[in-house]
Amino acid sequence: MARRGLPLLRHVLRHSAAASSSLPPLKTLAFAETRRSVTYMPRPGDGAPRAVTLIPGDGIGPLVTGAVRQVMEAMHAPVYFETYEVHGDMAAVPPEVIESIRKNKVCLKGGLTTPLGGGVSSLNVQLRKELDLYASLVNCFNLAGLPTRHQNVDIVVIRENTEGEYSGLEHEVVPGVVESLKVITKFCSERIAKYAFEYAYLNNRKKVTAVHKANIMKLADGLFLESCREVATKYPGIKYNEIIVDNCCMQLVSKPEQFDVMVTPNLYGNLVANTAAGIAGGTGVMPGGNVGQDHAIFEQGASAGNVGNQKIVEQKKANPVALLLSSAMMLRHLQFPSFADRLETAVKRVIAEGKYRTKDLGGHSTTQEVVDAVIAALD
Amino acid sequence: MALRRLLQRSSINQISSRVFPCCSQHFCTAASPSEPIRATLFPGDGIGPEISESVKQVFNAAGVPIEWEEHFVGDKVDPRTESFLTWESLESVRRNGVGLKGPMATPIGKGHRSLNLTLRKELGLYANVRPCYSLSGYKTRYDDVNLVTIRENTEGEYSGLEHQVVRGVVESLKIITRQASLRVAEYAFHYAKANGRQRVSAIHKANIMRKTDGLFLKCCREVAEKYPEITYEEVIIDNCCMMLVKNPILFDVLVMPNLYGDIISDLCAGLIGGLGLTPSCNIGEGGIALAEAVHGSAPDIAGKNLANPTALLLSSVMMLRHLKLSDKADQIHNAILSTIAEGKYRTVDLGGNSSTTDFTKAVCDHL
Repeated sequence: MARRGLPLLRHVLRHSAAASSSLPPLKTLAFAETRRSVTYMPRPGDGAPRAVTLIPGDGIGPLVTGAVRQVMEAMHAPVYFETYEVHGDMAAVPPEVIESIRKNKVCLKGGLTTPLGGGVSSLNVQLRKELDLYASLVNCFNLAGLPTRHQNVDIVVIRENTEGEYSGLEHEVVPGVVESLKVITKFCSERIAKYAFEYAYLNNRKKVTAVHKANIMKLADGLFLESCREVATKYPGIKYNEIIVDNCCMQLVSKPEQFDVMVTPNLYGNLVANTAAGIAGGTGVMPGGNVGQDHAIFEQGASAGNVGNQKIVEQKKANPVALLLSSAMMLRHLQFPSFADRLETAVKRVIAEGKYRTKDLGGHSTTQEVVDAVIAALD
Repeated sequence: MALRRLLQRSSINQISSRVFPCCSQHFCTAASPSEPIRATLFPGDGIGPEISESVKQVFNAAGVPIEWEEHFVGDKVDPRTESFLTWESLESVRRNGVGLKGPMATPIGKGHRSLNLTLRKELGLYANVRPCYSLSGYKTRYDDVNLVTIRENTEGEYSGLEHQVVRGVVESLKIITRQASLRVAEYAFHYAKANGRQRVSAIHKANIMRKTDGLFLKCCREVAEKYPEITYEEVIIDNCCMMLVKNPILFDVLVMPNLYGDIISDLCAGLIGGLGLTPSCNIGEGGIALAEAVHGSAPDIAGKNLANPTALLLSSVMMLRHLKLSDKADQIHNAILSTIAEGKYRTVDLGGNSSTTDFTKAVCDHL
């Protein structure tokens, strides 16, 4: 449970000249409850407030982003939000939003509905392609105090976010016959494999599993596997194995403890991430985000239910935990580790106590009640 | 008349109503009860022969009027079928209209088609039906699973059409046709109606793959209009995955294109205890049904009398229902369920230490 990432801190520790003998075990640094014996030394000016683009989105989006805003204010976190209205039925993401994300480099976003049936292409996919956010990350783990059918789950699903089955290249050959192209390139497969192994290395993860269907799609998934294998040779300390996607789903529901980091192409990643999130407590609590070379967008980890339905919106009972934990990831990404730790500890405390839980976790609280509980639990 | 009697029984005996025969001539072969019915049997490799023996014993004990025609996979490639399955084997299935297939190990190498692909193409098997229900007596983390996955088996992402555009760029085609989608949707609704199921859910990702999955959904909607008594809903695949692992009772019958079907049906098999307990049946053009065991051939325990015949036995029950031999099907099905529920005779993979023959004998005793 203690393998939570504090990448900057670990980076600082690994390069600290002295003190290799008096280095505390890295585990204790994960919880801000125990006093940290090594401090994060900022550069002068690191505490200046950072601008973050905020996209409330559709459905429960405004509710949960409002929750994050409240908690950030209560913590006096050095972030301020530039809000932009984007809705799923717009034809394209407005250019000023893209400009703002390019300027701020970081964005926090609620869910955007994608209308079925054609016409508009998904805005989520548009954003990812436009900003080249090629890695999507979901951290699925058991939260203390939340009963689930599966224990010992701590899986990170890293999913290629730009190509694969989501290329959007479809056409009708003749009436009644439609073709869709799945494109796999060596370039994208290599960079997602590199990201996955680098993530595993920086977060002290032991194993990377590649998920594929190369027995049927020999060339496409074969190319993906080849790239993963090449990158694996450069990280001899990290174990690497491969699993076929249908077997993977079966293993996830029976023995999820065998998985650590999983790297997948686009479509399988969607399914595996949602399955892993489901077994560990639901998509309402799993944090995640999309990251590229220059930008990062944080949102609810797995995509199912990120817009919610009409009933939840009316009753204001959306679960803000996923977005709160994602904003903690965002704070770390922005190099504010102590704020991130405080937020995470408070959220975990509220979940462990069990008094304030929304409907998807088996409780009856509203979003506001959970937010108030988190603010009260902040130290 | 027979239909009403069957439907009445289904309302009394909840267990037997789960896997039910198809009732229209279009989807089933007519069975004449007076003479024995011929069925093709492919024992397969590894543990295949042992578990096929199990099925034969149980059928004998139950007095099922089936005469088996056994066919084995050859060791030479038959040029007429381009695979190790001979033309005679395939003709036999076509003639008899039903078959039972054990696990087959795919030989590695070039110059021949895979065995499953051969069967699928030559017999036109377009729908794969897998009922998944929790077996009382074998506890998994999920107790209340009772759903059926119906997967389109011929096209979609598994068309096998891939090519390298330039070095480092590969394209793979996913094909969806109106004809195949209509066919599988028709079968799904027909199955739901015939088995007393209330709801059919189409699983898709049409928000991203708008034309392909959009066409699939359109076909499902068209068929749904013809069955107003069955509730029809559409669920996006990521929602479906999450709901399945959180609360599988939400689903009844699922109909899906090829890739999603592959993944979801294996996920559902995982929910109830694995491929060793899951029955499966492939439906082909002209009412052909080929029931099969979906697990592997387990060469490491072959010949040691340790194999678990449950999957093949449950698949053979599906085959009997397809032949409208529902009394015998119910009898055998209940015998299997009570043997597992009792818990005294369990094979090694279920945590017991009975042999295949002991388990088979227990099932025969329960008849």
